[in-house]
Amino acid sequence: MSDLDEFKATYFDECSELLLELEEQFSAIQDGDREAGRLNAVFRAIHSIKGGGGAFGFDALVRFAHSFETLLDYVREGRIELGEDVVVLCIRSIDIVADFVAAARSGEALAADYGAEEKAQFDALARGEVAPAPDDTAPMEDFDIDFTPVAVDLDSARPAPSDGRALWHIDFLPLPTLYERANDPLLLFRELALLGEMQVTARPTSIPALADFEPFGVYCGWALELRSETATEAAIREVFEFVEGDCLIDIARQDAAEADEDAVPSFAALAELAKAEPRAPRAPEPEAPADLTAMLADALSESAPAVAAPPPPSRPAETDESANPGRPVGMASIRVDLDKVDRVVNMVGELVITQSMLTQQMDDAIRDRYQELVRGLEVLAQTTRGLQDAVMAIRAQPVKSVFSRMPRLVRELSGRTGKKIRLETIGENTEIDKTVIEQLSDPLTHMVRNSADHGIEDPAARLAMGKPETGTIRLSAEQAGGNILIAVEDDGQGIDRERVLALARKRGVVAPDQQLTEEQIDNLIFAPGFSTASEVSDISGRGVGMDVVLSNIKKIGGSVHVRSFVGKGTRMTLRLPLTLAVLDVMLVKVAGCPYVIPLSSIVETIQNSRADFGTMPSGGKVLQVRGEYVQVVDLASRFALETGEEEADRFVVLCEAEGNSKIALVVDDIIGQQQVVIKSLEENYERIEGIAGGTILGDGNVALIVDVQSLKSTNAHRTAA
Amino acid sequence: MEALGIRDDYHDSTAATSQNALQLIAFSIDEQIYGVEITTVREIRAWNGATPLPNTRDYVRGVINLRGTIVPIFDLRARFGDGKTNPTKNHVVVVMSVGDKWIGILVDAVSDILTVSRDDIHAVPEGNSIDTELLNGIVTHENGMVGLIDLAAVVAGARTDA
Repeated sequence: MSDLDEFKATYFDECSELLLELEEQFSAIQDGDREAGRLNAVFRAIHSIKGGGGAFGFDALVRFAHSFETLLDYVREGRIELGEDVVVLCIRSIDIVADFVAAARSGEALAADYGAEEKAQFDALARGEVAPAPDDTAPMEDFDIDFTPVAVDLDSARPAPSDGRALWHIDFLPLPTLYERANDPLLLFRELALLGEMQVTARPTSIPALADFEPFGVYCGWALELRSETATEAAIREVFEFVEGDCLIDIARQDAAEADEDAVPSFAALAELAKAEPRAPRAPEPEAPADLTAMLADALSESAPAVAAPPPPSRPAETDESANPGRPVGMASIRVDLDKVDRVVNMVGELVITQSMLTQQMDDAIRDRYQELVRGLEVLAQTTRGLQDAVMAIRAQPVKSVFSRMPRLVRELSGRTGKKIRLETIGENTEIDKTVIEQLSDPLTHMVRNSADHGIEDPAARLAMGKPETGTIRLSAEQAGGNILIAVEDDGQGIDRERVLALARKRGVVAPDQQLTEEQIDNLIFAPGFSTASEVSDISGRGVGMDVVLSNIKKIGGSVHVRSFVGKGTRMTLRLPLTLAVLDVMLVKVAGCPYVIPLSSIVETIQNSRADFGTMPSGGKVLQVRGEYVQVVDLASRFALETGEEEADRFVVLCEAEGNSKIALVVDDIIGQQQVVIKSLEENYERIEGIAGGTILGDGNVALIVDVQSLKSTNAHRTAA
Repeated sequence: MEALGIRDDYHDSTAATSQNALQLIAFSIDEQIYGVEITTVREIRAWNGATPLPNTRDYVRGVINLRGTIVPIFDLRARFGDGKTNPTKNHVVVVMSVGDKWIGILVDAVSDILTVSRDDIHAVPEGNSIDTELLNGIVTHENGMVGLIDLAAVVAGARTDA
């Protein structure tokens, strides 16, 4: 990866974060929070996106962001009122900026006029209510900073009397962090000079000997005098916005009249001072070579037209640091490649297994003989568990990263359906393993779509039913034991059970004479090939139904539950494991070999001697359980293994495959439940039919994970053939 | 024998010694010596059982746990069509990398590290398709014949036949 690519990757990472922030800030603004800090944060975020985009030449993005920024700037200054329409426009624009960023990232081209309408609205807003600012006509101008030199000659700097311009005194003292972040005061001053006529005076605070000279040390502050008709304090502060916190700044305004009176004598006085004491900043270090120090001071006083009154007492950089002890010097967080974290997670997984292997080796004889060893192993067990928790916490992420994609989705959906929908989120700081989060986005999107499409009614229908016009979809997340519960609720019409059941019968999902409880009918919406949309809408009717949600969630060891209240709403709940790295399984034996079955797919276990088997014409067996006939698969014969176990001593494990279909697996013995780390077989070998992967047991041996779903489908295929 | 770990960095120093030299790990199956290029070998360990895989070819003995990674073990004798090895603690698994995958092959014993010249590699005589498929060539070493195993063919066969 070239350097540029790396920078780009970092930029896109940052963009994702900034877009999240934008989304967050604007939803607060939309809820009526008009705190100035929010606007500033929004402005900074857009500005950063624009700045980086400019550096990489993403012109379309930059042009749009620039117009957006200009609008925000006016809003911030109060020139444009932040009304509902402006907020809506801004929120839509965030989506467009996100699209521009995504297009820049993937290298795809968007339509040439993409976002043109919104951009025109920005420009109209900006133009319609305020005189066009110079940069409105040339939106890119501030990117190509090309300034004429600022006049610093004393005579010309002297203001013309009573020209009505206010005089601003700005004291600017950088802190060392300003230089560490690669900011250059010169650029700031140039920007400031655009506001009006400006004079800059260097105020060296303490010049050390050259030998002690730190490149990033602070040895000089500046006094600036700005004469301008238009400048406001906000405008001046804005120039320093990006160094906020990295400098000490003091802005004072003098009225035009008194400025004229004061300024002239003070300038004269300064000039006097400069003449009288041309080398004001004396070297504090006596042993320093005098001529070098003088040269430095000379250089400084040359660049400044006049040297201000005697420098304040020597203030080495360290005092600035110690004066702000609370200020974080380093970064509070670091970016780490996920691969690296995964490697640590895997290794800790191994450590946990090795540790439990050691514990298993301990028998009573060892316990009696080597008490110290046993104690050590106990401590090791605790530490290992702590380490595992800590490592998993590194990879844990708040569900916010998934939830935050939903407001946009809901906006789009409500735009397309004409329904009014409000989205509420609760518990978005609940943390889940990143691997789970990644698998969560699609199912959640589908569920929200489903709620918007089938749940929430049209505004007219809602009013007729005495409900508020705006429907609500509520996303919530909470931790419950070793699981995360994520719920999507809506206050819509609920599931139309008659229609669902009729459709399910028509499509053969349910046998004609089968009686189902209300709950069972509700859960039919997750059955494969089932979609209640009577006409295919472009929102949720994409040929895939909610069964995709179920299979995705099952894949990560979770479950889905739906509860519907007719006329009042629907609640769909996802129960997810905290992490994908660890799977809860039942350990079984078939012909002496260990196999594990994911606990999430097991319904119940029955001893063979108590099971009610029947024989089919093909010789295959079926199991009757609570009025249902379930296919029986003997894992020993299915895997071509020889079992020495008596049939009556074996066990039936009743499992649930996709779409509520069941399968009964016959195994030799049930060892117990445990947690395992999933390992891939395909990494070094190939996919094996009926096996979902492998795992390493406490004794170091490999156990195979039974793929319930594939056993079910291949079996069905065999029966058909 | 179990801890004869051979690492990547070993490769760098030996490859530079001579352009034409080829270093082999030699192992035996039924007294016949075979070899694989030393740079592909990752580890040599004693046979300690493997978890059998269902629904796969009989020359795949199963999978083992190699420090947290699941590695398939190919029974080379069975791959040659001479029936399954009846492994004891004295049998050896040579773990190597083929492409981006790690595999183990079950052999009777590891005998030596050989240095041969690339010029001494002879083509496999036409005849039996198993020979031409599984051997890359034959080299002579101290008047003995060493068959160069084509690891890719050993692994690939499992995929097409399965």
